[in-house]
Amino acid sequence: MNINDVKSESDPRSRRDFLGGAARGLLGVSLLPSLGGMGGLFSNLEEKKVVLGPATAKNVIYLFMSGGMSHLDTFDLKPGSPSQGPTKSIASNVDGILLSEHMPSLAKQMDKVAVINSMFSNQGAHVTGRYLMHTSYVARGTIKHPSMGAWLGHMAGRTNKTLPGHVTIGPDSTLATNGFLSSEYAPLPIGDPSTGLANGKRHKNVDAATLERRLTRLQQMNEAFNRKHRSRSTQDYEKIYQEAVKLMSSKDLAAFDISQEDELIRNAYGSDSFAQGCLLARRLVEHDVRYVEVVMGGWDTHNENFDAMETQVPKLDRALACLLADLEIRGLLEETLVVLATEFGRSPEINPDRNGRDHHPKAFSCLLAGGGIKGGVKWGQTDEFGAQVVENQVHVQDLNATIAHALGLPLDHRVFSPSGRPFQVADKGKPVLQLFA
Amino acid sequence: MTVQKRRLQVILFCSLALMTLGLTIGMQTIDRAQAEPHLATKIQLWEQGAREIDRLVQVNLKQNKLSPNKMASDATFLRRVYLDVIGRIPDIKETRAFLKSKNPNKRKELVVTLMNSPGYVSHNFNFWADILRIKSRPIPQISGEPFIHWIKQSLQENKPYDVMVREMLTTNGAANEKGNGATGFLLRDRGMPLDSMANTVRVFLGTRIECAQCHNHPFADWTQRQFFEMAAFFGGLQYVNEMFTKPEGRKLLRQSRTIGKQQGELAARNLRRQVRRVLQPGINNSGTGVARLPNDYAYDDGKPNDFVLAKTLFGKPAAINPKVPKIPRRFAERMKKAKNKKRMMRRSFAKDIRSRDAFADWLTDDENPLFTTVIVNRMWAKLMGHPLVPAIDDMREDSVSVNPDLSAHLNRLMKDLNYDLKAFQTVILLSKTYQRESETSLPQAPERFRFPGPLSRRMSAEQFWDSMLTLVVPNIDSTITEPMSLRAKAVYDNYELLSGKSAQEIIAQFKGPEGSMMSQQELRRQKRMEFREKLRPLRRALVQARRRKDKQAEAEALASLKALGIDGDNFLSQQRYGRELLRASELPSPTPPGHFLREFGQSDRDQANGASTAPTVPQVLNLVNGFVEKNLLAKRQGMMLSALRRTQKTDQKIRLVFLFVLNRQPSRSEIASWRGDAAKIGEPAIFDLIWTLVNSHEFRQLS
Repeated sequence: MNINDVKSESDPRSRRDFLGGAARGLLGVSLLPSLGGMGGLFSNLEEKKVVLGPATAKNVIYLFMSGGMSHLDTFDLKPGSPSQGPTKSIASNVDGILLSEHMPSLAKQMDKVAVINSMFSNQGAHVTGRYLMHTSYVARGTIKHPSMGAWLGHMAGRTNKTLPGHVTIGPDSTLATNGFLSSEYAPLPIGDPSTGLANGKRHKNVDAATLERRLTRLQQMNEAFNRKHRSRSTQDYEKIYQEAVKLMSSKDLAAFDISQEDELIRNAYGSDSFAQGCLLARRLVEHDVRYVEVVMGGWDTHNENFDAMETQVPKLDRALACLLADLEIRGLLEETLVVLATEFGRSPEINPDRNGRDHHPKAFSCLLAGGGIKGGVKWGQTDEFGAQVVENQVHVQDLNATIAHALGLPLDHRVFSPSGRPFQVADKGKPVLQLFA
Repeated sequence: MTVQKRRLQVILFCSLALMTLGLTIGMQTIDRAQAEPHLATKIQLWEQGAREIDRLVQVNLKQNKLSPNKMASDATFLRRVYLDVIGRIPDIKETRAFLKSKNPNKRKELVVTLMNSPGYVSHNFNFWADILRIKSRPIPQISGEPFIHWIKQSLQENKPYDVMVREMLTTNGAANEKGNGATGFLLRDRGMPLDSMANTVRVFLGTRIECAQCHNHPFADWTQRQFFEMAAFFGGLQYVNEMFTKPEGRKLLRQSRTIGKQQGELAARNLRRQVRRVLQPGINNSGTGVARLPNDYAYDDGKPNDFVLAKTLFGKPAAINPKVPKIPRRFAERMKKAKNKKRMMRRSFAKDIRSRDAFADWLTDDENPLFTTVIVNRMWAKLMGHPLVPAIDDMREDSVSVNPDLSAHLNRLMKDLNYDLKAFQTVILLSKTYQRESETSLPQAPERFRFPGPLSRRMSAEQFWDSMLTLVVPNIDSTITEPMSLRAKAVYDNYELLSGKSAQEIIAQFKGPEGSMMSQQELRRQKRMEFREKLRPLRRALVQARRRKDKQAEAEALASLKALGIDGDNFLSQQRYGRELLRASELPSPTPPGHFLREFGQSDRDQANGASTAPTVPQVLNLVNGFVEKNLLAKRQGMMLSALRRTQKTDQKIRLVFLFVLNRQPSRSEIASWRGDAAKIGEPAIFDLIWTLVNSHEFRQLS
């Protein structure tokens, strides 16, 4: 085994192919002789071969506003309504799309963006709301569903074979998950975008020959252990060890290092961690990482909503506007779908004692841009208070179906959990086809 | 279930603790125990309970044409029981002592010894921190230290579980006053009494009602009205120290507003901060038993803003009699005229009828079936790797135990033991069922796992970290401090200093040496400097006394350090091995993102049971390129490297590393293969060996 000579894996589109690929890989050689014994884990419910549809987007940058972004103070302004509060609106470069006064930069870019004002969720608590948004399924105690990045990896594979296909950036890395799918589709979590990937390089005391020797010994040791104690967990670890070693030897490792960006560009995005995360996301899709999520916290504004908007919204405005412009200049926007999502909106009523807004899943807003999406579009509508959707309601599943559709993932393809239950990407949601150019 | 009986229980266990503490394994603990009739009876009783577990598991297996695994080897048992009871692998001394001992009772004795060691508190703190979402700083204005202290203290005293739960639900008082730590449970969800109720029901009754917070529950039978009837038990709950509902507290807050003008903004800000952080947090009002429906209530069984009265979700009714409060006529008239009625509509006027106590009575009642089932299920899953009833915190009406007779036996046992969790866990550990070889995977239908042995699983993040430390720091458990940490003590001291003081007196604290105002940070820095000044000579005295072997001077130095709240050995060990190498329970809760513990799946402590054992790339990179190299291979003073330097022969070195890391002897072929490496490349082969074992499946798995 040589860490500098990593064999590329076969396209992991079907279960059988995938097993063959893993078995030929670095540490998983031991899988092969005992394949016959795996019947228990991968039941007779064989997954059919995935037939991908035409894709309008290769990669996705998914920006998640964690805590519940107020639609009324960002993308669904209601000037003159009692629910508006002190937030003022400004016009954008698209007729009929109003934005919060704190979004002057984005106002000049709305011709690239489709705004969905008619989002609807049935989950009003953070944990379950975030779960639904990411997986399209309601959280259950008995199974863990995969999120979109894992679906993409499982069904369509990755483009860059040495970098992970799925990365999540930000303090909370538990939102995206491989669920019941193989751990090789789990997101690589990056806590702090400015430090990038910790321990990505060989320790200075260790030369390549030493590491290779150690990895060989480790493989032997694990093989012996597997003879008696092989389990899902040990297999998962073997795959992740392969991933890690592959990553270490990747010539694209620099994709994780935003310090290599021009000072000017770093400053243009903004200095906060979300902005730097957006920059890292751009570097990653540039290196063909297919699904990058960036999480921005601070949106749970039960208290002093409007004070919070004054700090939150400008950060979002600057980073997102810069990201869109940057992608466009580099010619990446066409193939990169940028999504701005959140678990729910916030209540039209302004909580009198705390001057805040509470959770409001019945109506909220999300954005789509690039990756084949028509710009300058406003889709759906809420009533005069921003309380109820009155036109073109888009369920959480529909939004996810739209993302999957852009990526060419077949919505009716069934994948089976280890216990034999069938699941589909976006849980039978309908893509909003009108949003595509 | 009387309080006296419980006291007796505690006393019994304490005496057992005293007897076993300090005795090394293999000494005649049980002989001594026999001299004490109570203790001997206890152990007999526990063993009887354990035999019944074995019998019922056996019957269940047989009925399904399965057979139990064979008994685990001493080495496997040793490693497993250390990880399960005190959260780390045994160190080299402990490993050797146990494997060598010929005492036929050694497994039993080890269980009892471990149950009473400081590691029990540390490991079980981690366990509960995950479930109760314990944070060092849950909200910027609130310190989590008093609650952390309370949990650790309760574990050390082995407070019965039902008593712990009751205290969490009913304690009132200022959060930062010593003795009120249990208020931390409700303060965790400050300002969100509805979420608080949902979390309480989920954690203690294994039932999810949070969906009903916004609408009728889609799957279970709960309606939104029922949810509010439950929430009514917390009606009137106030998340402030009682003082702040009285004039003097309000005065303090008012003064902070005017004081800025007289004494400058810094003084005003300091005062506000102190009031908000030190004095204000607390819990008061024992519950009115009344809540109001939300103002967008949409079902037929009530109107928006209607009063709802506390009513239990199932089982017995609660022993209170809440009444719809009368709205005073004057207020009603004022409301008619008022423009903005919304806020007035929410006002309750209900009286404190101690509904929280009634709720706690109902919840912890012997006859509340779910209360006992849930804790039994938790403890079983904790030690056996898998619950008896699927989904510990998502019980449904159709949830059934894989072995109903065993569940019935364990539920009875839990009640007979008066919710003494130490005793209950001891019974499980004494069973053959626990001591068998582990099962590596769940069957295809996990709900049909019938426990032919425990289920093998990955160590928790905390077990992983604490085990790694065991290889570096000698006597790692000396880093476990008393339940009241220095941080908790500082919180109490601060409260005592300010409680009952006037605004002027509080501000006076910020006067610097030249009479100018100091900011919070400056004050803190000054305090830290003063503390260090005191520490330095004591440390020197201790080191010198030890070098001179001057017992008296050593004792004096240790005593002076102790007066500052510092354990001398722990302190020196930290200086030698690194201040960050403390057991997980002594680090901030949770550790910051990017810490080893977080990479390995420590919960962010935002949701109950948020911990994960899934593999990730950063984890692996840390083991391959980070922690192992830095702390195990590059720290010459580390425990394993020191021991290796004292060993000459290659074979012995190989054996030593296996004993250190995997707590077993290497097989012949293992020795042969590493001997071969050593012959080829010399000393680095031993480093390779350490690296390999720590990265191996065998190290990571708790089998």
